[in-house]
Amino acid sequence: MATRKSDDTPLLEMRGIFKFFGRVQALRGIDFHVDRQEIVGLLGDNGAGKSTLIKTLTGFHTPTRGQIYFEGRPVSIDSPYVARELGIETVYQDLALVPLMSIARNFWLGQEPTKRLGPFRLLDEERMGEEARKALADVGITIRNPHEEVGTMSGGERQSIAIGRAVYFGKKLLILDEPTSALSVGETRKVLEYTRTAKARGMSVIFITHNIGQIHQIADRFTVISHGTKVGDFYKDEVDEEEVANMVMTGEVPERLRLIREEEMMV
Amino acid sequence: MQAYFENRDSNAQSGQFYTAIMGVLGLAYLAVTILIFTGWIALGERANVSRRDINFNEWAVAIGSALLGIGAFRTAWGLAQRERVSWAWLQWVSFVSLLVGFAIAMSAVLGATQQNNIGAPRLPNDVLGLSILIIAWVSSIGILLTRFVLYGQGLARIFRFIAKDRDKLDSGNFWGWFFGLFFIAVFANLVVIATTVEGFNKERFLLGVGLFVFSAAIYSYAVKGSVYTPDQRIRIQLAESPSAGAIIGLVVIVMGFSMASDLFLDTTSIASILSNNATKGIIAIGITTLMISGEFDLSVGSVLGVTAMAYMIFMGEGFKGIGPLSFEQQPTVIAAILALICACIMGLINGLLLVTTKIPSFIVTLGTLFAYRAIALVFIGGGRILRYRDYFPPPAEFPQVFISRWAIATLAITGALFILVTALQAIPQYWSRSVRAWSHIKDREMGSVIALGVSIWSFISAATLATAFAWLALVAYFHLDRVHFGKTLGQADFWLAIILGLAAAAVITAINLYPSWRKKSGGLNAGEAYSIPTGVTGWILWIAIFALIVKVYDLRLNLSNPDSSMLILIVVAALGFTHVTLATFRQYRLARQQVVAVGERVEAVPVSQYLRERGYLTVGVSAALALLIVALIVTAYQRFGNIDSPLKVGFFDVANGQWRFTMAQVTRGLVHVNIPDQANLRNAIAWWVILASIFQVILFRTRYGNSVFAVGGNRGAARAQGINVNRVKVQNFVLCSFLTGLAGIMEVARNPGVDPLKGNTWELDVIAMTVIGGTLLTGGYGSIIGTMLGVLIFGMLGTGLVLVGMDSRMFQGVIGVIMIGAVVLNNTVKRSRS
Repeated sequence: MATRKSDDTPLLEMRGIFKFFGRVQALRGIDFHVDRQEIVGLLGDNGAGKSTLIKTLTGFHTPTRGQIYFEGRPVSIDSPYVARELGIETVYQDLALVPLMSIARNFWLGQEPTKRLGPFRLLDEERMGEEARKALADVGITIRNPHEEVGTMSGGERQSIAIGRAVYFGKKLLILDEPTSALSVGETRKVLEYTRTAKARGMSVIFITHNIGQIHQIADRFTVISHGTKVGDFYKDEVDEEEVANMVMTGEVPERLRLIREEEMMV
Repeated sequence: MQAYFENRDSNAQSGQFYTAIMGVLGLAYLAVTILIFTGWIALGERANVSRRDINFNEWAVAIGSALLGIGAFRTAWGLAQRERVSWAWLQWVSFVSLLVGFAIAMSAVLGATQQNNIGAPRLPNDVLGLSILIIAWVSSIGILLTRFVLYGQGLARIFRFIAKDRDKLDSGNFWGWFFGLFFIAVFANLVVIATTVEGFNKERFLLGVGLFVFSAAIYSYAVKGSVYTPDQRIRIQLAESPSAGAIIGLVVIVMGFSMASDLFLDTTSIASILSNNATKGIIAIGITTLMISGEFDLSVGSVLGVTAMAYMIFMGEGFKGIGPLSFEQQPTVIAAILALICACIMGLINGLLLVTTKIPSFIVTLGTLFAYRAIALVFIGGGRILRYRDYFPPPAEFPQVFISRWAIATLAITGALFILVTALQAIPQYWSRSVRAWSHIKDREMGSVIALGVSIWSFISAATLATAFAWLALVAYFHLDRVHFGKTLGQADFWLAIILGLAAAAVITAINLYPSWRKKSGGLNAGEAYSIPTGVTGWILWIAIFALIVKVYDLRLNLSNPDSSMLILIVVAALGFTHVTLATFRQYRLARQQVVAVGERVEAVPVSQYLRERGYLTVGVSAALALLIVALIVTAYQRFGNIDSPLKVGFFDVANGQWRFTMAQVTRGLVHVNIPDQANLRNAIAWWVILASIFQVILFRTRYGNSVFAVGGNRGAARAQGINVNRVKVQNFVLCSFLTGLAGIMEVARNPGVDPLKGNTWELDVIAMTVIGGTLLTGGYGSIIGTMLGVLIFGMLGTGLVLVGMDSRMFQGVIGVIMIGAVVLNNTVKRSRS
């Protein structure tokens, strides 16, 4: 079982998170943390509680019990605005961008640059286009025309733009919810690449997926959850793909890893 | 062609061929100009054949063909020089020729239909007649199609407006086929009708068709493998316009009805279409905004009823105790404000109900539709009508508002100042932008010369606009209550204006031509290649619009009188300047995008630095000009107006009065605009246009507008980016109700009586207008301009169907079919884009 590599306070720590929906116990005392500049793969079968955990983090749900610490400070994230203010950006499969709006407008949504025209403030469309293009180019995403509609782009391009946006606005924690499930092989590779770029630029990433092969390529650590509880945290070099897959399916830690954990406990 | 420019011998012949063709075409066009001036060609009536007696049509044709001739010669010269830009020239000249050919052929056809006693052909009234006509149409299309498949494909190529990517176009482009078929159908039908009629000018028709086919052939050749074509801009604009379907619908309806009934384009019918639908149009603005954010409002009809009722009650009963209307109390204004507050509260209730209960807006507003209607029913009572005249019997006047003349003067001055300040802010930006762009394309020195020209130019246009604004404000002000305007401008002023205009035009042309003059062959970029055609077409466009206005309103210009000619000159110059300036900036942006695409980095020059370095001059000149304008206005007021006595304006006239004035009153009998008395043009039209412009800017150029689109397009994404979705929705409901309230007050002003069912079923009309205009019911997509077109389509159908003699009870059925058709068309457009 993984112990922390450094003594720094983690970027995010969730301690003993419980979430009940009426009688349904969605989360039963989960401990979860993300270090700085770390890619964490959050794994679990359908209904394991991944989404509930993430929604607790992004302010769509408030936990029934438990405490969230962000950069060492206790925080209560009770709305998406709070999460956004803290620097947590979530890229959902289909909710990241507005398909009928242009790339530039999507990129700047909610914080558009304006220019003054007498007493009025109008959007500075030229700057919006220019800077969006530049910012995306910095992350490695080349776009043809920043005023093109997002709806005409492929799923991978959309995910890339959402990631590039999060990087540009200096977010601290990026949550990717099943970002590659509808993408082709080539596009998936690109999205994984941008995820690495985001990490290189100082962000931490929570990567939620079913595809263990993919996550194994880029994640530093895996957190496996099952039936609302955490199965365990594992660094990438401790486990191979097959073991992770088994854990996700069965919700049990394999014998070998259990032995390692016991050794650590004895030390 | 590519090879020809690369100086390969194998293609030299084709280059020479097109050089020769362009030379001949140029000669032909110039010949037309000369023949018109010498009187050999007469278009319309001419008292005697002399150069002074040229009528308006002839002027337009002569100037147009002279320009085309020059263009053709320029092309020939460029082709001979193996100058790459002549490729663009070739496209331009052939494209315009093609349109001219079509116009000539059409004029022969239309002329034949008008000359004969049958008048304009009418659509048959009975089912049998209609089906015969439809069979005739279809078969003529079929014949033409089978004979001219290639020709149809050429048309498709020309009118493939929609897709941006040229390579993807060759298979099944909807727009290409639509326009191709549409033009063929219209044309074929007209030919079928015209050839059966005596007096069909066969020579003219053949000339037009010949020119058309000939130019189409050249055009389709020139367009091969090229990047920039004349139709590109229209195409892109249509593609990016949410209202492409509505535009086409409007064209079809106008063409169809104007052919079917000669009363359709009459001032009286246009006036009634506009006046009857302007108030609905104002509500439609609100519905559009709301619909873009993903909701809609069924209760607008009831809100309108309640607002109108509240306005009447506040005015009639709420102020009865206070005494008669007087200047100090301004009760009608207070009543209007209170009524608008009522409207806003109703909108707020709609919005809050929606966001708190999370019930779909269909149900919420369906509920409030009934609830608000009940308010009107309870307060007014069944069968009763609240009438203004019941409260204030005839000796009392309609409500009046008193406005200080000083306030108007201040407004006019502020307007002038505002324009100047805006220009001041814009010029440094444009300066640095254009310098940056050009310095990266060609040699630096030339870049700054051009940039300087552009800066000055934009300033001149702004100043001209400001002057025109001030002038119009003055004229309008002094004639509002028929105060006589004591001074006329002298003959010298008139000549000065003409000289200034000519000088400005020369400067424009020089700036446009300078780069191609500097480098005689090769190396012209797209921006340069575009500058000349855009400049020229800009002028032609505005002249054409002006000519159209003159024609439509039967303006009788009196050029020898300085007052009217000055006014006209200023307006035309201001419009022309603005257009040409905008066109140039667009082309600089194009040039700059090329720089960016190449990958060079463009360093930003801060505006403040620019101002420090060389802006003082601009600031000084602007300030001086602004002061001059202010001084002029103030002097004028002091000399000619009794500035201390307040201006008395009828409130109902302002809100929705009939335009009874003629242009003759405004310009002291110098320009006559004949608006017939029965033409019911009302002020709501002006309010509609103003409000629509404001909301178009709000929706597309402000943060708020952006969030409206985001909320409708993808609620989750908007929320995740920190937009308060609920607040935007509630605000939109309030805005929509506010606009409905304004419409309600305008309705009362037009017809000062309120019955409890006022505005009943309006909501359906308004939603239909919005949907026809291309706004998506599901949100995230739409435009105000589209909705305006939807309003026009709706109104025109109502009037047009009556004029062609269709049973007016059919109206609703037709509207329904049209609405479904419009939505299908819009969806097709969108699918063809992605």
